[in-house]
Amino acid sequence: MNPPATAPAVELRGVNKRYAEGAEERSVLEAVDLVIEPGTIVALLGRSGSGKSTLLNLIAGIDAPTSGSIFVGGRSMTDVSEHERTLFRRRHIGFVFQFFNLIPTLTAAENVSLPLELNGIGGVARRVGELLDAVGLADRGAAFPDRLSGGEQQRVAIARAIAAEPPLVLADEPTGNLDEETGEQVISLLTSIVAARGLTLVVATHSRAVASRADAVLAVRDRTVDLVDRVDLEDRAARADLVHTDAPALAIPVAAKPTSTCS
Amino acid sequence: MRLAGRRHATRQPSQLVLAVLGVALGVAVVVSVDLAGASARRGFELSTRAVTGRVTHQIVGGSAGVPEALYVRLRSAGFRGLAPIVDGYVALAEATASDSPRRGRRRALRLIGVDFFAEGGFRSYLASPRAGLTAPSSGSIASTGGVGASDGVDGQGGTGRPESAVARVGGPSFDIAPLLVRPGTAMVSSALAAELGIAKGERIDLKVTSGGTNEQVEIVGLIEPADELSRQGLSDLLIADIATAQELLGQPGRLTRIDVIAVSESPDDSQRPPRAHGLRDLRASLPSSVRLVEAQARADATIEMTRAFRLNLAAMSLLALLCGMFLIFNTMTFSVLKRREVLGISRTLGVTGRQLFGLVLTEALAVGALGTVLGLAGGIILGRGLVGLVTQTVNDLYFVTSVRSLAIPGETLAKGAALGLLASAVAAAAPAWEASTTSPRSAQMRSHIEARARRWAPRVAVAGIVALALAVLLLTWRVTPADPMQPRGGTDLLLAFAGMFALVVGAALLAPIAVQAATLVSRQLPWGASGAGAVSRMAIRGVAASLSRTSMAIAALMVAVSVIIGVRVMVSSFRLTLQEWMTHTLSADFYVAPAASGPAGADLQLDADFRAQLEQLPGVVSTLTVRRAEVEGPGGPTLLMTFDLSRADFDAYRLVEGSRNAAWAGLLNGGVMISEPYAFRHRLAPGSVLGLLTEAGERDFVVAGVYTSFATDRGLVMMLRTSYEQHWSDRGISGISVTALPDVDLEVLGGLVRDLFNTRQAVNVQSNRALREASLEVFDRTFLITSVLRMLVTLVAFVGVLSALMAIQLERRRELGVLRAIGLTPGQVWGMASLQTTLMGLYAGLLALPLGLVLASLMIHVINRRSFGWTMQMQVPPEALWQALLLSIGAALLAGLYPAYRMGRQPPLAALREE
Repeated sequence: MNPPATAPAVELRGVNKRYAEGAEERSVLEAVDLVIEPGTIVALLGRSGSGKSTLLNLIAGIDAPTSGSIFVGGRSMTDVSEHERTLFRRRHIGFVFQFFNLIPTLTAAENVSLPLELNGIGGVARRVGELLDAVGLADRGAAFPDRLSGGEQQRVAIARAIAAEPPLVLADEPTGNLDEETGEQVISLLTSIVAARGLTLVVATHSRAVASRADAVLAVRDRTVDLVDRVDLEDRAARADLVHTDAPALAIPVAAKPTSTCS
Repeated sequence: MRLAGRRHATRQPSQLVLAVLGVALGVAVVVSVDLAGASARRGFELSTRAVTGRVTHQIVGGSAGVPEALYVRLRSAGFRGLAPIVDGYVALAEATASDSPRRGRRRALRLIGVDFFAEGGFRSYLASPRAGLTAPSSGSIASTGGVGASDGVDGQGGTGRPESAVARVGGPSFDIAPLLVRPGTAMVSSALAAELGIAKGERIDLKVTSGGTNEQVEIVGLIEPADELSRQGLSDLLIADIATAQELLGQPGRLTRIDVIAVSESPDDSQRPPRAHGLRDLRASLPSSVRLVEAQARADATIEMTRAFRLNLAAMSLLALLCGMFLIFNTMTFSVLKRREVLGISRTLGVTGRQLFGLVLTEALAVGALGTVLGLAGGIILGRGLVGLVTQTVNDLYFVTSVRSLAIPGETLAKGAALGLLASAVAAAAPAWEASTTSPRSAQMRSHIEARARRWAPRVAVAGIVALALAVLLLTWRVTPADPMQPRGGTDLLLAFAGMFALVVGAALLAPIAVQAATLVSRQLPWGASGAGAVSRMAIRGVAASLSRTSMAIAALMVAVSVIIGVRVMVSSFRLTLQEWMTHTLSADFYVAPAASGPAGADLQLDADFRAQLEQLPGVVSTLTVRRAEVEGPGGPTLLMTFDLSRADFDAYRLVEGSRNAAWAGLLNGGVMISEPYAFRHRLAPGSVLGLLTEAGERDFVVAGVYTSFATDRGLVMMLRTSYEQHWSDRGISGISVTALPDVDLEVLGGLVRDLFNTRQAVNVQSNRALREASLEVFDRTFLITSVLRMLVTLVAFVGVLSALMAIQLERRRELGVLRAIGLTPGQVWGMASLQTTLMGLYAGLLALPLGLVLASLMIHVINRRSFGWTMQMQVPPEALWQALLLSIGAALLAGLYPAYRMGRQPPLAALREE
């Protein structure tokens, strides 16, 4: 079950995704090749409907590609059963959603404890306390989600996503439903926690501010994924090789695209 | 908005279907019970109308009837508008003809013996067309068109058979001559003849009740009913000449009654009220042994006997509708919840609260209308099934009636439609109000309604307590009818039912807070910190978190299960009390009675010398005779049981009121004992005086005691044989009980008893055990309809739970998607959903236990007492409780299977896409 330690955090090979719309088929992603090394923070930029969420769902194993292979931590997500994918996801992937998606029937602390309990990790109360403390909500553990503000709910969601210490955290527009200031606080919290724990984070976003915190930025457009070489991220360009495409035949042109197309 | 509403409905077809089904089932049950009751009643009314015709009054004289000579005397005195009647029941023997369609049937027919010459305007199907032309009689009691011949027949007491009758009667579609000239002839309606496969001239083998002997009757005429109503009314009539009827029923020289039309000078004005002086004259001319009574009042009194029975059925059917209302409430709340965004946007765009209220209400009414239409159709279909059960019970307990077709009165359909629509509107009022008062912002908040439901739970509970207080008030409030001659119970019974409904509604209103409390308790249980523990906790919290929905389902299921417990405990207490009473009362080894069953056997007799012969049989210790007679008492015919009791026999009776010694002394002094229902109906107690019409006129009898008897809910009057014989010349025996020596082989003795009678009279010789079994069989048959209704109530509640769970499943799609995304397997989701359902069933079952026991207690101690006056011991079979609990959980689990399956199968992506 445990993937090889040296494997890339995420690897996509020739991934195609098409959806049936009535009699027609709509292609969302075509021939995507992608490798993300462990410990990287990657931002996915793209217009609404460009396929960012699809890419995240494919990586998480919630959705299956039409063709191609996906590996997470060296483990294939395409050659295993739904049940195995679920168990793998439970242990190795954390999720942060745009609409927080806390379980309304559980308190903040219970939401955070859920992945711990599902994974049979001991010392739940202590760990939940630490996690809530880490997201600045040590005193709100007993509150139900409808008693928390949006920012607070998203912080609980972050605590829940990292509770079982998954090597990979996927975040789908985590600041999309928050005001700018709160969004900034939340993304700062998320990236700092992920970086501190050496986790890999793939975050789909419209926000340049979020992208600015990433080690690499990928643009999802025209059914393909491009590595963005950003002017304002030169100082990180040295680390751009951490996010690379490796299929020469399907090489994604790495061009200096104006980032405004992603905003 | 309406378009959005329609689209919403079509996108959630399962919810729509379940809501429509809920209303349809509720309406169907109410309508079917009403139709079945109305049909049984109509069957009775039609046959009564067919028999009584335009009769306004009757001269009656109790079980001995009216002497034929009285009729002759009255006619001689110049009274007109009189018709002598011999009336009784006969049973069709097993068919002997191999090809006959009636083979294997055994059917009771009402035998009416009439004097065709006196009939005239009494019964239209027997009337001569020339009847209307007859000159008015000089008497105040109108001539009803007795044709010229009638005067000529008077001298023969209405039993003569003039050869020239045919020529003089003319007109009718049948030829009466053979009826008059040939003994053992009769006629039936052509429809009945066709049904029984009887051709004219065929001699059908009739088992005649009197004496239980088989007699041949030849059908010599067929009556063509003029219309459908007459056809139904005549469907069980066998009409014969009066002399034939007297012979067949063993009543030589006696009439059952004399029918009277006390009206105008002309038969055409027969609907006008009777002229008082004419009746006064007639009454003054009657001997004290007979009584002039109103025909309609007598028929009404018979139907009145079934009132409590019908009311009990109606109450059960209303419970089904109540459960149906939960369903509508559920659907409409769900509909509002699902569309909270649309509603919120509409409010933002300027749609008023009132418009939203109207919208939701209109939708509910549309659902209600569709359900109502289906319910009416279903009710008619179901009614066809139930009418048989109702008729069987009515036949077993009250009077003989046969219903060949289901009457569908518009009134019943209108009532069902109104109930369906009203229930839909009432059930939708709260969600509609919810939609109209929610602010644009809060309408879009996912948790708003549930949070409100949780906040409201204590207030709803207060309303529940108020309803319970109202229930107590209604149940303890007694209204005594102003007229002491009127049987009591009517208003009191309605109050008791209203109280029971208030109790059920109150308990249902307490359900939300009880669910919250149960959730708190359940959460304290050590579920463990494993994945299963987390899933369990979510399931537990889920029940309370979706309170607006789960509490409705739990309340509906609780009501259904409590009704099941209540009715089961009541029926089993009743059954046990009955068994105990029979064990106590029935101490003889054999019971011999003429072969017949039900009310038709009321006036049968055994040959008097049988008793002595029975006592000669080896092994017989003693015999006891009973005479069952119908005499005129307060409010009409009264069942009088006469025994030649010894003090030891008397001690087997259980007294409800009065001391044993005083009661025995009272009986010896010519007093009577009355059964509990009789005391209840007529408000009598030991020491009261009861007036009965004897052959020497009305006599007062002192009530010596009130005793327990479950023989009939009409009530019984009992007296010693010696007292009876002082007032009545009747020396008949209706039954003999035989007690054998302890070591006698009862099988052998039973055979000897049967042999004794077999050669001379058809009798039923029943062993003690067989009699008890037969009684219990009737008992079980009576409560069969209750079981059917109980099942229907459960079905409605089941649909309620299914609807609630489907709603929850749809509502929590995204939440389930998230759970799947963070690693819950489909099996765990299924387990969570199933645990939640199990908990709902468990909560409903646990809440239903106390409510069911309270309902049982009320049915036994209040409803039953106010309906029938019986005292019963409440006995709770333990299995009734745990089986109900299992049923509750099982029904919930079963209802949850499909939603749980769908929840488990739901791909996480679909749910997350809803973002």
